[in-house]
Amino acid sequence: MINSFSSYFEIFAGLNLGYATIRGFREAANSELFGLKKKYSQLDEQIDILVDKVNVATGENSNGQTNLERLNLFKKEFDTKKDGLEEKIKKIIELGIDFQMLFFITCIFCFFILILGGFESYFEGKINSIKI
Amino acid sequence: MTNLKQYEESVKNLASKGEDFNFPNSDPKHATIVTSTILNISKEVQFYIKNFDGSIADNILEEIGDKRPRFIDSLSYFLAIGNKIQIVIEEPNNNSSNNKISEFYTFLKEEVENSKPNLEIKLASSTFKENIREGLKLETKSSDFFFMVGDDKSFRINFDRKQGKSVCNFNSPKIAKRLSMNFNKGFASCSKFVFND
Repeated sequence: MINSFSSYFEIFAGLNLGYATIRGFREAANSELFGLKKKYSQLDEQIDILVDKVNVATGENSNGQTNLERLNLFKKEFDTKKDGLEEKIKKIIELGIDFQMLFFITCIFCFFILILGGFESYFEGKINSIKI
Repeated sequence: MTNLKQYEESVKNLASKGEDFNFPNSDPKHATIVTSTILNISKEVQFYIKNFDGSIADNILEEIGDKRPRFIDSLSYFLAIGNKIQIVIEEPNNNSSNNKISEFYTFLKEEVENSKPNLEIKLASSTFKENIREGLKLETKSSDFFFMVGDDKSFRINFDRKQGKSVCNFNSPKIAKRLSMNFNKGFASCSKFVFND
């Protein structure tokens, strides 16, 4: 019975093992599965926009215009966004570690199933030989 | 990268991303960058201007490698690709700086002589001025209130020309629509501007 699905278990075990042990594979999977790349680029873009805003708001300072208040306002906004970004990265890393463990356990479970399948086919062979 | 180059990059980025952000724009060179950018991102522009002295339009931004007035180049391309601009001028006789006829004036004159249908230049009537003042509920007593609006979205408003108090935004439809609506209301009452020989 188990052996009917053993090739699926093999693939599943491979994928899980890959996710749990290969960093590149995990990062690629994370990017695809959870859209991390997109989230990162969105955050990058937001920071770029913020920098552009600071630049245009204070770009004329050489002419004697003091935009210190504006700059401080932006700095505050920038810090808030930076904090938010750090929090998000932290969560992503934690999520990655949790998944890493989960996938590793799943992989071990799959190996057990495969071993069980091996036993099953061994005993099935024995039973069949008794019948003969 | 020079400061002006960085400023130009930031202005371009904010314009292309359509950021709703008000920022000051007083210095003539910085104003040249912003007004040219409005022309570059718009298809229809309304321009209420004090005179043709070329204080902004004639600027050559040599610091960032320009060899010709950027605004005139942008306007030339703007007209060449069929975009539409309506200009209302307040002072008809002031078209020079340092006793030299501005390039802006000369350029517009040539364009009008070439009968560009997408360029309309008119002289501000009293109705037009009243419309602007009352329609926009201007609290300032300064007569220096001029603006440029692009596609009912982006704008540059000049509050005080002498002190160079200005504000810009590349995506503020609410204010831009108000400006353009009041501009259009009084536009019909303005007479055609005649260029001197």
